[in-house]
Amino acid sequence: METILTAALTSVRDQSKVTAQTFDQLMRLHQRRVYRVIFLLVRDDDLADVLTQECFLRAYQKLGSFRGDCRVDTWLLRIAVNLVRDYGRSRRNSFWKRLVGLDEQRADSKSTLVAVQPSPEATLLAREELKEVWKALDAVSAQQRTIFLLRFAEEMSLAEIADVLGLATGSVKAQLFRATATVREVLRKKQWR
Amino acid sequence: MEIIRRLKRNFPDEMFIADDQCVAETLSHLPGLARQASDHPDEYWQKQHSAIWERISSARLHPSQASPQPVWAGIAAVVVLAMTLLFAGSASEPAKQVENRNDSDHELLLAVERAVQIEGPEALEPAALLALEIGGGHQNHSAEKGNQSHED
Repeated sequence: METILTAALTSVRDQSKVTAQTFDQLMRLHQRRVYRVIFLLVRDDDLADVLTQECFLRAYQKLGSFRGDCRVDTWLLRIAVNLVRDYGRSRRNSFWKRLVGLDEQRADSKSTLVAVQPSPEATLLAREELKEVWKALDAVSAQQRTIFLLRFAEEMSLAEIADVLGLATGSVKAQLFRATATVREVLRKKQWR
Repeated sequence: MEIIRRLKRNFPDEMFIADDQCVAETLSHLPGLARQASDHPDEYWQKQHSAIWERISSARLHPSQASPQPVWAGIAAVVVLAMTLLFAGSASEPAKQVENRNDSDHELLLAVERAVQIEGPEALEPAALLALEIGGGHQNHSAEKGNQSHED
């Protein structure tokens, strides 16, 4: 399926000729993963939802620039990680909230999301455990955090991470080493306390 | 454990001593935790899916908001045009000045020539010859001068 979609996207240079059906398939295939990566990075349901929407909107607008030199999911994650990075930069100015109208949406969506959780207890428990890792990751830089989560939560290879972040594999490896050492230290201290 | 095997492949062994068992365990649970923590029912994904299509449709209706490139291209074109005009104007200025200076020199020489030919002093004859040479009418003028001296 992935290969067929990549071929479909690379063969069509004109964005208007990419059928809605092809893009719809692409979205359905990667929507959850894109959301999950964004959620792991921003740690907020509503924001992850809005940024996922923005990610697919940008992907649709940039279909013409997809050259097929990487996998579609790598390309989508690259857009997603860049969006999270941009959001982090402009968070102080509340730029994104104003741009996407998150302030207005937040009140409505929160109640809806909580109401439709499939297993609230399990999700809550998972989030509590995840919080420990997130807390440990507060001690590392944003880029190291991203690399760590892509590696251990998404189980991506170093080469794939390098592709998503536009870095050399060696640099990814070095930053992952530092992040892992810091997380190890924090978790170990916590365990002995 | 798969996670320890993978970590060992990428990092020095000393990082993964026995007391890191707990850390390795936490990391090995991370993919499952991430999936569970970001889990939502199908309705949620369907709603998000529809919201994305809505945003794509509204971006199609208002393309100027979605892609600011044409605006920037227009601004860049105006700036380039203005710069071109500015530099073209200042570059042609010195050329004109040189041209004017050449013209005035030429006119001065012609004036000297005329003055000498009418009734100039002998001391100015070399200047007159120079003027003739530059003017390109050296032969004609020397012939005329020869005739004049014969008449004298």
